[in-house]
Amino acid sequence: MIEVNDVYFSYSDYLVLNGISFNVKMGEVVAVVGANGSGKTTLLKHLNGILKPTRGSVRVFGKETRSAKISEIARKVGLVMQNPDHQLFAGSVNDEIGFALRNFGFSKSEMDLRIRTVLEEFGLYELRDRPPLSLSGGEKKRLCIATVMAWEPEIIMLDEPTVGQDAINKKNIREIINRISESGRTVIISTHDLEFLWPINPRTIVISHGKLLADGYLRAVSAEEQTFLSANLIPPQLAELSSEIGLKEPPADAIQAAEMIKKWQKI
Amino acid sequence: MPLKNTKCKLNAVEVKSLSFYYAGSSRPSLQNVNFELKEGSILLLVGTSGCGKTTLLRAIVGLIPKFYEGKYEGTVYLNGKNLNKMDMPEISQTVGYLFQNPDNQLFSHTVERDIAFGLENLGIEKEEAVKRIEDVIKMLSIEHIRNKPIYELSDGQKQIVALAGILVLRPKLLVLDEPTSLLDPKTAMNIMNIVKLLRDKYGISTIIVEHRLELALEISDYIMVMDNGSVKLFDTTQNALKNDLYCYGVSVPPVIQLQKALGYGSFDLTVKDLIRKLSAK
Amino acid sequence: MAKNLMKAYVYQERNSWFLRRDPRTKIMISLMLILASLVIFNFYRSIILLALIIIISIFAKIINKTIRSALVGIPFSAFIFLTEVIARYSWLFSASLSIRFFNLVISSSLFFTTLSPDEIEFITRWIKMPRDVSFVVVSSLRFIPLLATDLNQIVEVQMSRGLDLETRNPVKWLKNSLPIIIPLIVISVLRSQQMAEAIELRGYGASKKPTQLLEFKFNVADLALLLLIFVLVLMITV
Repeated sequence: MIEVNDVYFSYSDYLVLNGISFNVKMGEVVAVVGANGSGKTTLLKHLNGILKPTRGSVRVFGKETRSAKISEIARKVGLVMQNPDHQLFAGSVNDEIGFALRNFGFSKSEMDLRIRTVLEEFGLYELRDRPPLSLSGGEKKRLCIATVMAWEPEIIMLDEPTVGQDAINKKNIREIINRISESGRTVIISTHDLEFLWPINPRTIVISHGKLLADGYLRAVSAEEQTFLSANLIPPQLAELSSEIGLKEPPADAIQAAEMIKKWQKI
Repeated sequence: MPLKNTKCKLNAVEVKSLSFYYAGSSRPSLQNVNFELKEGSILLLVGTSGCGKTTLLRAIVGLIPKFYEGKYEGTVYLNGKNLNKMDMPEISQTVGYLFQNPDNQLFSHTVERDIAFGLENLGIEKEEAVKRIEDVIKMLSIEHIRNKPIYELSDGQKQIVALAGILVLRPKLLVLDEPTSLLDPKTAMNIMNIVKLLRDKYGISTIIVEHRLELALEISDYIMVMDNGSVKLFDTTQNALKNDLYCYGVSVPPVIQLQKALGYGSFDLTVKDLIRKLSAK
Repeated sequence: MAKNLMKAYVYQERNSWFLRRDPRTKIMISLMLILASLVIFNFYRSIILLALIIIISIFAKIINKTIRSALVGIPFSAFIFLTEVIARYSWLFSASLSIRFFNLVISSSLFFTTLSPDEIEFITRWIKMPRDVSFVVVSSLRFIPLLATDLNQIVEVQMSRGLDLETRNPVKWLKNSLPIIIPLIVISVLRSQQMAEAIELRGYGASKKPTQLLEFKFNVADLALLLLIFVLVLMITV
């Protein structure tokens, strides 16, 4: 569905992507992790056509992004960017959601139905007439995700969705990701918050200085301590624990970890 | 920079019965907040978004009521002095405020010029100003970027430079409002280590707001949990962790969760410490 | 065009003997050249002035910046030339007008590319401009590139939502600009709010006599350079 083939990308003489290749299949949940400046956001922008590779190719649903219009690709690949303030502008939450729908040419009745569905799904129905700029941080984040879900792209990308969010909002975002994935859509998340990803255990692509360092499920990738260190990331605590004790497989949560420690102590 | 003085222990901050309603709001942002922070300690302030953390920080630096109108009750004391009796120039030399966004608090073209900004504003004498700038550059180990234009710095470096521009005014208290939100974990730890250094070597107290507890627990002496504008919990880090923080919307790192599941009464704050303790048994 | 405009007028670090001169020297040279561009009407003298500006740019090692500004200036100069010719003025007269404008464009770019924001701050304070004005000048120079980054990010987000900015219809284009302009304004307002708080907390406005830590020495080399350029410009003008 998505084919990234030996992609290089330079920005102003600075090489941001340094020969990346990987594929994403229908319905996968993929996390792209790396430190700030590693190239994760740049990579995501290649997947919906905003950026085109300097060398190499990106194919989405079989079509080369270089030869397609951004609006064509965006219809199938939605991107929720990090900062809601870069996007919100409409007079009401309703209109904000309707903006993309209008751009993509949905009929009025379709629009009304989709807006209604998404308002209810994301708990924004009461706020529908409020100006988006008056919402709280967590509400704005939900709204940004809702605006993308409204046009139901097959692939949804979230760029650093947990930045600045408190524990409750993070839990909500995790639930949203699960819901999207259960509906059969592909989810791609770029983040450096490995603790957030731990309960999801998604397929994880580790990026550092524009190069791909690892590709596997988070818990499996975590077994290699070097990987995260080379990528300038702090390993998740349960991964660190598991490698310190010498466990074959890291525990899925703290309760499991407690059981494993009890067993380990008996040895 | 004067080194740590262990003689007289004034409270760095004392907040008494502080309540505040933003103008036009019927809901209080702060409700009868009371707490004291001992000099030379680090307080981790946590709570869900909208619980009043930023409002409290603004009240501690005087932005409330000077910049934000509303109904204000109670008193804030910094180093024993009533905040209401201090004007902004005095406040700027007593407490420093680091914002979340690195870009919005740096105004000059180069690092050195930005560090000098506050000193020039206050009319500090040239010789003294130059000395303080040298001190701070050495303190934070930023000699290698002193002449760099700010647009070339990474976000982490920008936060450190912003901190330098604050420390140069010699405040005894720092207030950091989610300073590492936009930084990745490694860079965030860098900032935390600097805050620790400032306490250990110079006795500077800090109040830090951070959602990712795993980054801040190690350096915190006290934890304060807020919910709906009031203080629900204020205690030493160890004691605070014994409580169920999840009901306040605060998520505790896995290493603590698992020690609680094992029934431990005191907690090691990092995985390495925990394993070391367990291996020693 | 926008990229050329940015590169031609925004300061970037360079090193050359010329650029190491006192800022007062550099600003006076830029002003002399700008003034000369305005005052000279004769086509041949304008060409000589152009040559002088190019020589100075090469010597100062900022020639590629000057070329960028030339790229900005050429379309406008060409436009002036054509309109004058169409209006039945002589070729020589039209050419002299267009090259006069061209000289103005590239000499003004010299002004921005030879002076760093710190040096501009120094000059504004040296001529005893109020601190507020000098602060606004310097912080604007700091925030313009940030605005450009924000603008870029906003455009990317909105295009990801299907916004069509390639339309030729002017009414549609204006309407489509709203989702770009509004977030830009919001971000700028939020930024200035935070800035206001931040500068207060760093004692802004506390002293009627803020300390001036910037220092530059105007020496013999500066005087020599200034006199040389002055004499050359005078010879070309008069």
